[in-house]
Amino acid sequence: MEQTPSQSELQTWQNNYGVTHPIVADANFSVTTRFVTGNSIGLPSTTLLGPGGVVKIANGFVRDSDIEALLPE
Amino acid sequence: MRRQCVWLIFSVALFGSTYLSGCGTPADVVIELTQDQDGDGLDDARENELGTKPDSKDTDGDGFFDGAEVESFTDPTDSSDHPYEGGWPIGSCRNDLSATGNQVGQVTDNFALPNQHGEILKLHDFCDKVVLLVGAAFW
Repeated sequence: MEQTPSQSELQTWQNNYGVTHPIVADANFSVTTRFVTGNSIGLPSTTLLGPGGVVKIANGFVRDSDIEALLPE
Repeated sequence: MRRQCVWLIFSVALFGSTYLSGCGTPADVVIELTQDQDGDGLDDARENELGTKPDSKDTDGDGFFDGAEVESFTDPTDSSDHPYEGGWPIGSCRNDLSATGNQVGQVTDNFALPNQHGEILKLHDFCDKVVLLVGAAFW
């Protein structure tokens, strides 16, 4: 059964994996499914946005080089 | 004979600023010394422009000094809008994006979702950054 993660669960996630970036609760995958075509979704799902919020890769495989290409010199 | 310089410091209460002039010829040297009576990083004149309180470090009472909010492009008069506890930088363009869609090449819609610190995180706050969104689940 799907549940929206609580703040404490998000903090647990942060602590377990040692991440420093934002972790948000995407209830019902409302944001994740924006970038999905069709009725099914594979997890993890990755989407790359460039500066200005422009979608570069939507629900696809993101390589390091894809990210590096968007970063300033 | 060398002219003696006398520095005069006087306050101009109307403008909330202090001016420093020298050598009896104010037009030669005028240096504005800003006054920040509450020490929040914003001088009083700027506080008047922004509508913040010159005698309060934290006008909206959200725990962040007014100067820090301005530097972070958040609203020092809105307690619901403040820098992120996680320290993630907010872009000056945060309110300038116009979403066009969620396909490649389009400007994606904003979102506002709760983060691990209990704040509402807005995607467009990172308007000047490259963002990798990873959708995952845990059991």
